[in-house]
Amino acid sequence: MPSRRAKRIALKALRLAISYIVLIVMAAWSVLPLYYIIMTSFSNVGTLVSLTISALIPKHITLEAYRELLTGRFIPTIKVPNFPLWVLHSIELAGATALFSVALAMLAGYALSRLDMPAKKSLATFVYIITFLPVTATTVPLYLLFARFHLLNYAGLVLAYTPGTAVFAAFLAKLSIDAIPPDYEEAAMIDGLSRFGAFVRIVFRMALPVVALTALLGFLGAYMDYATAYAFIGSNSNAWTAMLGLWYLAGLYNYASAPAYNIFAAGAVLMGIPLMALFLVSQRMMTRAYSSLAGIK
Amino acid sequence: MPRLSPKVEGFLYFLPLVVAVLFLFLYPVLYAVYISFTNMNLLHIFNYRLVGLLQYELMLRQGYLASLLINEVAWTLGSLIPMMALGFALALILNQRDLYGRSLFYALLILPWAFPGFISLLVWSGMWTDPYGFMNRYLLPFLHLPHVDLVHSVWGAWTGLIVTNLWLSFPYYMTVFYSGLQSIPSELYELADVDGAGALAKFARITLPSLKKTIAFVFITSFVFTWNNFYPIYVLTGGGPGIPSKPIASTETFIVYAYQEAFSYNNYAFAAALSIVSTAITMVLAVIVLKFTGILEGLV
Amino acid sequence: MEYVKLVDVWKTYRTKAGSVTPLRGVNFSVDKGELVVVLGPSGEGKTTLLRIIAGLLRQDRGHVYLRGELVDDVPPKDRNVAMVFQSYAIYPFMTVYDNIAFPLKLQHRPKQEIDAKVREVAKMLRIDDILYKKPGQLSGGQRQRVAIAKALVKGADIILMDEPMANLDAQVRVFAREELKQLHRDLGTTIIYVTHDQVEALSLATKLAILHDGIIQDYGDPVEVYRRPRNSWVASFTGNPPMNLFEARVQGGYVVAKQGNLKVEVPEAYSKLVSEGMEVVAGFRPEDARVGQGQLSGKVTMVERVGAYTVIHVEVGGLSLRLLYPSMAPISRGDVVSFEVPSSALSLFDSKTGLNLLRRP
Repeated sequence: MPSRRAKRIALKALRLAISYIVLIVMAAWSVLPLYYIIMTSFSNVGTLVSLTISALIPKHITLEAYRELLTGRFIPTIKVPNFPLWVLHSIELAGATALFSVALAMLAGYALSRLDMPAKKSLATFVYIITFLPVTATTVPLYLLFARFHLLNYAGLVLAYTPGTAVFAAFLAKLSIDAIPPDYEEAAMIDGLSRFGAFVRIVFRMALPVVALTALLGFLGAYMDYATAYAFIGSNSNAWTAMLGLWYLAGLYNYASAPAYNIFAAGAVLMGIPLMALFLVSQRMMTRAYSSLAGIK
Repeated sequence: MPRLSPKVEGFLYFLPLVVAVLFLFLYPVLYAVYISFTNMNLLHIFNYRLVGLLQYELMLRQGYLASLLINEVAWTLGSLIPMMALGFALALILNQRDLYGRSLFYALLILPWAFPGFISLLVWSGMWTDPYGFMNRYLLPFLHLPHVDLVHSVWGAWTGLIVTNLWLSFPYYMTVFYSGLQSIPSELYELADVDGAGALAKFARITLPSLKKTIAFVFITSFVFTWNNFYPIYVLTGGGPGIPSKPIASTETFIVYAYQEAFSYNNYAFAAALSIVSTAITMVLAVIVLKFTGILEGLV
Repeated sequence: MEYVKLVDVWKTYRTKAGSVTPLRGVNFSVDKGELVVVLGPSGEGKTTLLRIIAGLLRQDRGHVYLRGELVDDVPPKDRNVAMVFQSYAIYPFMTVYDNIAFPLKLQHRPKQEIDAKVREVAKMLRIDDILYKKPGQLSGGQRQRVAIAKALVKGADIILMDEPMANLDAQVRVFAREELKQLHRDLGTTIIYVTHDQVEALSLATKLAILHDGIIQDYGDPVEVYRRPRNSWVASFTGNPPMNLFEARVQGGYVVAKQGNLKVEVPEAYSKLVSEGMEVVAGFRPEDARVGQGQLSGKVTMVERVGAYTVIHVEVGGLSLRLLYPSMAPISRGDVVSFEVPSSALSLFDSKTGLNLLRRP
């Protein structure tokens, strides 16, 4: 009957129309702040006051903000361009965290997988439960403790960042190493390596995906932290990380002395886009790791 | 080097992680417990002494504990419900078979979550500024909505927080629910079609029950995460606008308030006490999560 | 000289189900230059034994001696043994060349020496044309030869092999076996080879050891072990089809089956070892009985045509025996055949302990 069919078509059209409207609105809202900040970074907007709607329409694209970001000395006491220095610090910190996370996670994962340990299950449970506290929850206690041990510096930060990633990665490593037949290590031990040598030269190589994932997670976790970094080294602008630098550039540290807003925008874009890319890569790696492990189990 | 028995060897490999965890999780917490029983602050930074339960009494008597708890629940539930609802709705929309441009929409919708949250918050902080920020200057008036003042208005602060957190997190829920929806075998729906079920019936009888486990899992894990979510509140409102001895008047949660007490006001002992209470609550929640999800079984 | 020696070796595993003790007091020694095959049912400790010799596992009790020296506390890398694993364990991320060169690289030998040795071994095993391929690109037979090359390149004079032919196709296996035998003859290395395949064991071994129930049940020249098994278990395990075993009593110079009409003269070798009325377990191999002639007769209950030969199951008054029948000759269920068992084919075992009454040393 035509009316029923017409009714069905009308319903379908309505459904799709609503769907598209919702999607378009949501997509626009999702993109809004990012578009906003990217456009600002290519403009010459100095403060929020002067950020008018016209600034968001790309009439004059200028790289001035980026230039200033990379060469500026906003804090005069720092002799070199500030922002690159802060980024360098972040990279150092994140890199060290990545390294330590890999070492701890692989060692623990190997032990859980291959070696006979006393009270293995209870120890593992204990470790897993303990790290349910997010890093920010332990920041205050950690600060108090590290203050006593003179660890309120980069070394302390690396120590603070590492276990969070390492514990999670250790279990992933265990599952991954479970899937590698022990024959290879045994052959290596006959070939002339000690067990530790076989672990480093053979197992690492064969568990490369997990190693890479752990390194990436450790790197990202450390790089993107603000809270712990501010607590530990916030007072020393010479030692700031990129995130602390961005906080400063956003004017939240000290509104009066904040530099131009487009410089902040440039910083946000310069840091945000690569970090976003790395984050998406890590997510891809994780789903791949889970699906390959689920396949085996 | 003498041959190590496999037991000792295994222990040695596991040791670094155990040491790290003990030193960096357990010990600090114990140390914080100790400090919470002292009066360490700006005045007594080196010459502090034990004062027993003073800090905890302060927390209770002055109303901090109660209002912080209320704030936490408001914050957590107030965030989670919109996020999960929106995420679920979007997942349903994306799941429609006759939808064009799904990949494009998905790619755009996932941006808020993919972009580093801390940086997004810095950007949003600028956008919410009243009256010059983008939101209060252009968007809200355009939509005929009232101003949102994160700094001076309680209503404004909570709204700004919830809306921003919604922006940050909805993609995660969208993704989880979307893959959940995708994994429902289409035969179930086809069978329902044959039986003459309408859209609403299919949703209630097939979709929801299939996703029950996912929804519950996501809710519980997200609850714990949001409870301890530091950055949105810290960056956007700094815990304001009011003081945390009155519920809802401020936007303080345990984790933000403890941080501020420690690093802005140097009330280390009080901050420690707050941390301990917060940690205890989190542990309880964590145990519930563990028990519920049974994650541990598959791991050791 | 006792090149490899195990004294009273015990090993117990704790599994989720309980504890398992595959080795209970293994005493075992191998002379230099022998190719000793350790044969036994699957899952009964052969691999464990090999791993203990290699040092990958530590025994719970007992001692291991290599080249006359106690090596209990010596790690695998210092024992100067080579091993070929059932899975070959060739590193998938290295080329064949690098795989073979690896043990030498670890010893920090000069580059030319490594190159010369690798090529020498590769040539010996005819894999010099695939040196730069990755393991993923090789066939099973090629991979096995790479594994053997790795073992040889070290120049170790003791090589352990854990069922290296198990993953090869049947035809490839025959060739591989012959090659291994030739290799052993050329190089004179001491090889300890573990398998559950009898045919392989009998064809390869210069000495055969049977591992079962945690101990070495029998050890010696393969033909001897086959013809004069040390106990009834070994007798029934070796041979395909297995030896016919039955309970009997010695009566008037004959071995008379307790059940069924089977009567064979007491063999010359045993005549002084048995007494009238003695109870024994007697056995003879199917291939030793002569079918088509003789006093004994039985009814055919089953015919198995294997191709090269036929196995017939024959019932002799309540006793079921297996005999061999000429390949394509007509025979079917229900037929009655006559056969005889020459007394020289008979083995007699103690009815309580199962030990062969001849009790070979």
